[in-house]
Amino acid sequence: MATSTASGRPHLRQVVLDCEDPRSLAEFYRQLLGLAYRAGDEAPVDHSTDDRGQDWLVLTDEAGRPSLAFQRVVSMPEPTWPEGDRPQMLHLDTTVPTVEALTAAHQSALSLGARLLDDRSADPEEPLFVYADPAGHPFCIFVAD
Amino acid sequence: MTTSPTHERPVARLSMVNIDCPDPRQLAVFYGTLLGWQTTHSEDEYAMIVGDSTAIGFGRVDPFSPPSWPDEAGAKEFHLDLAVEDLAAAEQLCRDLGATVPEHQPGEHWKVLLDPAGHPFCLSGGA
Repeated sequence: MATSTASGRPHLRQVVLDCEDPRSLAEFYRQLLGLAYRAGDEAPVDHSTDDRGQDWLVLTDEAGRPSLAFQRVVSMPEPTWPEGDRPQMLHLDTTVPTVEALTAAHQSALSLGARLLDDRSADPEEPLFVYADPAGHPFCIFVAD
Repeated sequence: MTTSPTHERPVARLSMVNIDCPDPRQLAVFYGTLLGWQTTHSEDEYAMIVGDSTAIGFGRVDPFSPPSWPDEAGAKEFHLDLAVEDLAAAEQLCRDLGATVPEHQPGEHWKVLLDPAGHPFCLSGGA
């Protein structure tokens, strides 16, 4: 998601999602999007305390670039969507290449802990599902090239 | 819990991030200029900027209430991390484009700014 620039301008390093449990939300997006933990951010394999998992975690893309990060906040009431008094503030758009892949992705997303908010999969122009991730942030899966 | 550090076959691809705001054109100009990304849509209800590998969309929400900073109510929900080579120069560029600098600064090595809609974002070194 980030490319270095020599112009002095910033580049977008990562999008950081607030949550009460960084490990669980990072696990969700790691498996959904096929990302990997930044070196050192993996969950402990022994019984040591998961300090990073309760503070800040970074997921990288296939090129090793930071993509998403997860920051612990003491309290983050779940956004309400599409209406209500707690706006979503942002949502992530994710895509699959075909309608068949969308059906498979739907099952995978649910099994990973996504909660269906809106089923527009029958829309002939833009088949789409809207979900809440395990922290309540809305995100979409739809078909695109 | 699976904790494989390798990239697994993804269910879906992260293609873009969409940010709620009261004035999509305004934020597209702000972030598009700041990041040097191309504006591909600029309408009252929606605007979009595209970079090398991802895109940011801006959707109009009315009424829009910006999160407080510091984020005591848990209303921020996300922020963008921007990496820079020269923190002071980048901060000035952001100010020139309409960002403000809140008094509360939790870190010594990065700077929290508010974009023109009031979303907190970070500038940090290491570009």
